[in-house]
Amino acid sequence: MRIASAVASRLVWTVPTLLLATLVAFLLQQLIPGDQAVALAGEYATDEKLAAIRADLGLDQPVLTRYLDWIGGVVTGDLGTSYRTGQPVTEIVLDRLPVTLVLTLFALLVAIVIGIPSGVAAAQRPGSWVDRLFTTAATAGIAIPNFWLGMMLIAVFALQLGWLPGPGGVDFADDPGNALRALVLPAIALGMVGSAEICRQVRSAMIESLGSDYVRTLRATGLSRWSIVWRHALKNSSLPLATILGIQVSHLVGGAVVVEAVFGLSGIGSLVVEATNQRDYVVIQAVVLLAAVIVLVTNLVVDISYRLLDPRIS
Amino acid sequence: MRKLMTLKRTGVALVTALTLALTACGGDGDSAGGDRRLDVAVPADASSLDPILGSAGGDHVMLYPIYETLVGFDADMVPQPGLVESWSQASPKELTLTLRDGLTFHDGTALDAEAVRFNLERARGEGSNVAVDLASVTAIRVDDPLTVTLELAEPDASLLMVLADRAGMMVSPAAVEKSDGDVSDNPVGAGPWSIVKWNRGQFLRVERFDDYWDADATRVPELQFNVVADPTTRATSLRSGKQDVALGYAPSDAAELDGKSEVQLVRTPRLWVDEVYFDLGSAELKDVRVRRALNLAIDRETIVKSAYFGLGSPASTLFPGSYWAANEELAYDFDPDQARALLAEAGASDLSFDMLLSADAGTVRMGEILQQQWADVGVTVNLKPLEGVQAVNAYFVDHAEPALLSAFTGRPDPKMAFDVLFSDSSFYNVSGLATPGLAEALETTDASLEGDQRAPGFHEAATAIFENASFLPISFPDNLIALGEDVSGFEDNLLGKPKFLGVSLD
Repeated sequence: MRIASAVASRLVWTVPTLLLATLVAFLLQQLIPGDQAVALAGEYATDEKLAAIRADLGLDQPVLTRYLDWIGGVVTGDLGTSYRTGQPVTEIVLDRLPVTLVLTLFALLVAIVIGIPSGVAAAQRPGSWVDRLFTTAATAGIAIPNFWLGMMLIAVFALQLGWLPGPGGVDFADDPGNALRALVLPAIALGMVGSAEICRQVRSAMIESLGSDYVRTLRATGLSRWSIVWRHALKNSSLPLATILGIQVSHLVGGAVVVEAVFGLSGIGSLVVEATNQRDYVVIQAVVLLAAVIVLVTNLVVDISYRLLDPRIS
Repeated sequence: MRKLMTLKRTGVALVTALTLALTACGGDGDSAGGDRRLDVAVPADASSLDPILGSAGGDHVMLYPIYETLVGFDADMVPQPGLVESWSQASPKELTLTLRDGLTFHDGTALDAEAVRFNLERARGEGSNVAVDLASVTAIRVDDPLTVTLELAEPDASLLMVLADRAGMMVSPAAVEKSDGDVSDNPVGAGPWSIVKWNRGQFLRVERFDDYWDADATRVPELQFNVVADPTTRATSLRSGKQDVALGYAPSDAAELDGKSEVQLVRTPRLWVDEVYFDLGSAELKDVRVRRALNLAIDRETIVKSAYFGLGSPASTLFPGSYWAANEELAYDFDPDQARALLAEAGASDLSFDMLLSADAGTVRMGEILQQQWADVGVTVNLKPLEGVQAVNAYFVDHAEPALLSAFTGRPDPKMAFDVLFSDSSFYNVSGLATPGLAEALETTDASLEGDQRAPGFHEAATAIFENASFLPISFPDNLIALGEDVSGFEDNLLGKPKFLGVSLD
C-alpha cells in the first residue's frame, strides 16, 4: 500500500516534469540559428520555395502557439508529422526504437555481468593485487571513451579475427540472429563505462558491508564465505547498486548516440542526429519526450526498488 | 566452496556456449552463393523516393535503380538514348522524343507517350522541386503513343540533360494516383530494379525488374543501400565484408588503403567544385581586382595535397578538364606578387573580411589554409564556422557576410550549372549582380543539342566568369568509391552518382 501511494505521488509529478522538459527543448530549438526551410529545400532552394515551406510549416505562428499545438497532439497520441519525410513521427520513432532498446539492454547486461562480480572480487581483500587490478581496470574503463573502444573492438573482432559482424546496420525482420550478433560489439563498447562505474560502487559498498558487525557474527556462526558475500553482504550493498543502475540507464541512452554512429546503427541516437542536422524539430521533440519518459520511469523503478530492498525507507 | 566451484564451471560453460553461438558461422552471413545481393553503404538516406519532391543531391543514387530516365547519359555526361530511343528538333523551339516500343512500369502498366506527358506535367506542377528545370516548356503534346513533343518558349538545349535528371524519371501514373501525390511509399518506376522494402533512415532494398527495356544489361539480382553516415564506419563496414561498395570514401581512409588491402578504390573526377561564394555587391569584394587578387593568392596544388591527400585536382573554373564543356585554357597561377599589386591598385592592401563556413573538420582545415595563404598577401580573413545549415542560411538568406566557403555539387547540364550559380535572379547569387558577358555567351549554347556546337559558348561563359572573378574555385575533389574484392564491372560518372548497371559479384 505504501509503495502504491509512493508510485501515485511520483506519477503526479511526472506530468509537470514532462511538460517542463518538452517546453525547454522546444524553446531551445527556437534558439538554434538556421532556417528550417533552408534545410528542407536542400539544393533546390529558391526564395519562392523557402516562402512556401515556411507557410506550410506554420513558422509564422508564435512559438507558444506552436508548442501548445504540439502538446495538444501529444495528449491525443499524435506526435506530429516529420517536416522532412512527411511520415507520422510515432511511426518513425517506433521504427528506430527496437535497435536502441536492444542495444541499451545488452549494454546494461554487459555492465552488470562485468561490474558486479569484479566489484565483489575487488572488495574481498582491499589493497590486494586483485583489488588493485580491478580498481585500475575500472578507472581505465571510465576514462576510455566509448567511440574509441568501439573502433578498437571493430578492428580486432570484426576486421582481424572476423568473429563478429563489422559495423553497418542490422535488420531484425530480415535476419534476427545476425542482427543480435551485430549488436554484441556495440553493446560492449557502450556498456564498458557502466561496468567500471558499477564495479567501483559495488566495491565500496561491499567493503563497508563486509567490515560490519553482522558479517562478523555471520562468520562466527560458521556460514560459508559464498553465502556471506552473495546472500548477505551483496544484498545489503544493493541500495547504491540500484542508484548507479538508474543513473547508468540515462547514460546508456545518451551514449547510444555516439555508439550508433560508430557502428552505423539506425536507432534513436542516429535519428536525433539526422533530425538535428535537418532541423526536423517535431522528431527532436518526440525523442526528447521519449528520453524524458525513460528517465522518469527509471527513477520511479529505482524508488520502488529502494522500498523493496529496504523496508525501513518510507 | 564446492558450490562456488560448480557455479564457476557453469558460468564458464555458459559464457563459452554464448560466445560459440554468437561467433558461429562468423563473418559475412550473406556470402553464400554467387548470385547474392549487392550491399552498398551510402552516407545518407534519400530525402524522398518521389523524384520531383526530393531535395538532396545524394538521392539520385537510390532513385536511378527504381526510375529510368527518358534520356540517359554516359560516364562523360553526354546524353544517350534511355527510355527515349531518339530525339529530334523540327525547330529550335520544339523537342520531339520517340519512345521505345513495349515499355512498362514495374506495376505492369504501359509507359507510353501519355504517361510521359503525365510525368512532365507533374514535374512542372505545384509542389515540384524541379519545375524550374522545365521553365522553358510551354506545352507537352502527345503526337502518337510513342511520340511526345515539348513546345518551348525559347530554345533550351539543356532540356536533354534535364530529362536525364529528376524531371525525366518516369513514375507510374497509376502509382501517383494511388499515392495521393507523393509516391515515396509506393515508388513505381521503370528502372532496372523495383522496390522491395524501404526502412527510412536504414536501408532501401530493390530487386531485378524482369521487363526492364535493356534486357542485356548486367544487373545483380538484389541491391541494397545501407545508410551509414560516418565515413570511417563505411570504410570499416566494407573491410569487414558487410558491404560490397562504399560510396563517399574519405580521402584519409583511401590514402590508407594504398597497397595494404584487397579493397579496390575507384577514383573519378566529378562535377563537384569546392569554392568560395562571393557577394559581388559587398563593400569588401565589389572590386574585381580584389577578387582576382584573392584568386591569385592561393596555391591550389598545395590545398589538394593537404586537404585531399592529392586525391583531386586544382580548380580555376566551374568544370574539371575531362568534362566536354570545360575550358581548359583558363587557369589561375599561384602569384602572390601580382595579388599584392592588384590589392594595392584597388586600395585594399589591408583588406579584411569575414567568411562563413561549415564547422566540419575538413571545411575548417581548408578555411585555415586559405586564411594563411591570404595572410601572406596582407589580407585578413576572419573565419566564422557555423553548423552546416546555419552557415548556408547566414549567407544565402540573411546575406550576413560577404563570403562563404562551401561547394557546388554540380548539375547534369553545364548551362544549368552556370544559371544556378551566376544568373542575376538565382538564389545562389546573393548580390543579384550579373557577370558581364555571361548571358550573351550562354545564349549561344541553346542553338544546338550537339555538345561540340555548344562547347564554344560554355568556354566563353567560363571566360566571363574567370575575368570577373565571380567566385573562387579551389579544387575538384575526386569521387572516391571503394569496392570489395569480388565486385566487377563498376563504372562511376562525372556526376559522382553511379547507376550500378553492369556491376556483378564474382
